[in-house]
Amino acid sequence: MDFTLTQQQQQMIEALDELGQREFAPKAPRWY
Amino acid sequence: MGFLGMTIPENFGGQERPLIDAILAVTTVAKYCGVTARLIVETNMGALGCIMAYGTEEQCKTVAHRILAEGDKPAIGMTEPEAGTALTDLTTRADKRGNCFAINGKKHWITGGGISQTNLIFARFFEDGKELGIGGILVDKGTPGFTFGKVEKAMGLRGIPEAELIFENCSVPKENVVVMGDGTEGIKKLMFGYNGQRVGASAVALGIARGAHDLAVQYMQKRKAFGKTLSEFQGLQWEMAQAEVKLNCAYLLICQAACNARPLRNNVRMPLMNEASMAKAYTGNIAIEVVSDSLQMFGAAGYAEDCPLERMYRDVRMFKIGGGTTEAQLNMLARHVFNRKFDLRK
Repeated sequence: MDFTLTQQQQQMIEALDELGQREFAPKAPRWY
Repeated sequence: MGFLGMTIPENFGGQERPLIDAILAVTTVAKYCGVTARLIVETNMGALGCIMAYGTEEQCKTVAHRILAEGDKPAIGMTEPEAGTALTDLTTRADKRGNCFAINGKKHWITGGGISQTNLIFARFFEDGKELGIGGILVDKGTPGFTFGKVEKAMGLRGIPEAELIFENCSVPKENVVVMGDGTEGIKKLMFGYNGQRVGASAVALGIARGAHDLAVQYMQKRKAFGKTLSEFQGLQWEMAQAEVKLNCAYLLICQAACNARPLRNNVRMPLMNEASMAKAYTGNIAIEVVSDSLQMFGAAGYAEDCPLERMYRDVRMFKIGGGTTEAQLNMLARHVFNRKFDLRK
């Protein structure tokens, strides 16, 4: 079985990662 | 962004993306928010999969429109107070009365209960007092006789309700039947249709764990103890490396189940029971371990609400339970391993 991501899948993941990091990053990183 | 209902067939207005695409989206979103990821699961698997595979053309059209145009998140009503893992103990009944079915009974711990317009309810079907078997029927929110009871104060995943559904002489047209009770055939179809949901739940658990692991890796490269960063301690390196192995094993099991899914009607793809169960049994356990080990890297900071690890630890605990317990998955796998059915009631 080939689990290599297609370009479309890779782009989708990158877009979601970017959105997630922007919207869900801890706002007050006291713990950082 | 088009992730809700992304697997809905083109002839019902969707993108008809393969199951693996939805799984990849779920896993990525869950790194940041498990609840949002669950919405992608509920609009691509679960009730939707059953309806697309077994429902009428009209049901498919209606539910697809609700998801794509109205943002509905279909609920699937299986669990009852006296029927959890032993689902076939359910007592909710659908009695044929003319052109309608009268539904009576109570469900609980129904994800999205109270907010979902579409509800696929598992019930025992009766006609002229004779039991036909367990089947599935659609009940819309707002139907007279259909109300909502207690909303659970859940440990995690609090952004989506887990509620009681109460049916008191709730009359729905016979056209709402998705799978008719037919001996043991109805429940078999419904449970096969539920395999997609199991893989989806595994993908949420994996995403939460991957998110926790990523945060711990970042933190360990900044936080210092004894004059060096945590990432320089070999014992801690090994813990994170071991977690990486677990995450990749889970990822491969989930990909295997999604990629090997069998096409049913409307190009709906359903994973095989043993592959879905393997993915869920494994991921449910390791996700908890990985989130717990990642939280440990933060010390007391990880135990505070300021840190996302605290939420992730509560959220991830659900996936050893919801969508079929780990033990139930292992029971099904045992059937596959020994190539025989074990009667749990004897």
